[in-house]
Amino acid sequence: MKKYFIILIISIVAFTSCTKEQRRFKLTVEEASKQASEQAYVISPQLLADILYSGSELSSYKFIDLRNPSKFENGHIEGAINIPFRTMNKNNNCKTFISQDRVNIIYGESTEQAIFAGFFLQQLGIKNYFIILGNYDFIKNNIIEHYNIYSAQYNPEIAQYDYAKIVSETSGARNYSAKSKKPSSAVTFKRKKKAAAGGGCD
Amino acid sequence: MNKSSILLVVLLVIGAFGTFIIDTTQREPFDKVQPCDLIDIIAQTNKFVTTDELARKIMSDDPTLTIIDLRSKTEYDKYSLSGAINIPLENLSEEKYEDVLNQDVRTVIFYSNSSDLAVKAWMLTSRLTYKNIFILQGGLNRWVETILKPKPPKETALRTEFEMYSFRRAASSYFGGGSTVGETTIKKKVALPIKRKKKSAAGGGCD
Repeated sequence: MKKYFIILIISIVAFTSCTKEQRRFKLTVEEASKQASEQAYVISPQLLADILYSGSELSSYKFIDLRNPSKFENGHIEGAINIPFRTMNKNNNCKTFISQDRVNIIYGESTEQAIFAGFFLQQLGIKNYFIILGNYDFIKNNIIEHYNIYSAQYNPEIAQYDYAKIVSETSGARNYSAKSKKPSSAVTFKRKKKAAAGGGCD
Repeated sequence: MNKSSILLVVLLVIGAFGTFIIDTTQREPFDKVQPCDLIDIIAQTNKFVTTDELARKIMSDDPTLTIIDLRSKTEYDKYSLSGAINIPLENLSEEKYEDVLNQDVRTVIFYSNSSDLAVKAWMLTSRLTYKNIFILQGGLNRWVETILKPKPPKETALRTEFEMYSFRRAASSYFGGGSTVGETTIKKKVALPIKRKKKSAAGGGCD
């Protein structure tokens, strides 16, 4: 009798806790936008290479592949499990993201997809995860197969060019400023009426 | 035994429903979109524009285009796409920007150095149910690689690639030429609405 009772309670709690976690954002939009520019949840290529090469710490990490099953079958990081991006919110997958026993390392088809997933988890208040910048091909070529000097500095958000300099280099002879077209249409201006200039005798 | 167990089960079921109902009524006012739906929205909507599409839009003077630069002010001052408005990602949710972002007719395009900040900003705005927002895929780094400094295709490449290349070269001379010169005048126009103090009427004349 008591056993039934306990089992029932446990199962109900387990069921609702997972859906609850999924049902609400922990961060408001303001809070999320304040934290958005931090890259705290991005795994550094050095650490990733350490984990992959040494293999000793592998048991405390779990790789999650967000690509489609067909791409997953063609090749993936050893030991990774496949959770396609669009099924992230399904109930049994959410348990994988919430579970605290391992640190999840998430990668996807593109950097964008990994960031979508990572920022989503961040807004839910889930903390035990990393994302890998770069798509699977990048990881395979630059980290798994041969780790090179460029792998360690990979961060697409850093400006790779001096934009203004390139513009002036490519400008050539055509230096007209006709391009200062009216972008002002984007914003509505609320200007107060200027009072007519006074003057003259009445 | 039997009766009490049935009673217990019934009570538990009612309790479970109760927690469910309480849960849904306690929804925070800021959650217009629930997490479950957000994943579907991300997976289903078309959210990227390529650098070529954006270049075409700017060159054809598309009047419905709003370009948003999500980087910091210092980076924006050094270089920005023509006509871009600077909204640093941290300030995205501020009220003064809502009129710019929350609309139906215009096409809003987010960009940063790569797609990172734009992806995050897109996610936040879709939580707020804003429409017609796109991400410049690859950001400014790809903008440089494809538009400002296009690489010629291989000789064996398809005809479409050569057409693309000639478009990009045209775009390169368009965007390369003069945009640094015209920059300052552009930026003044783009500044967000500033409430100006009334100018006192010029005095003069005879009283």
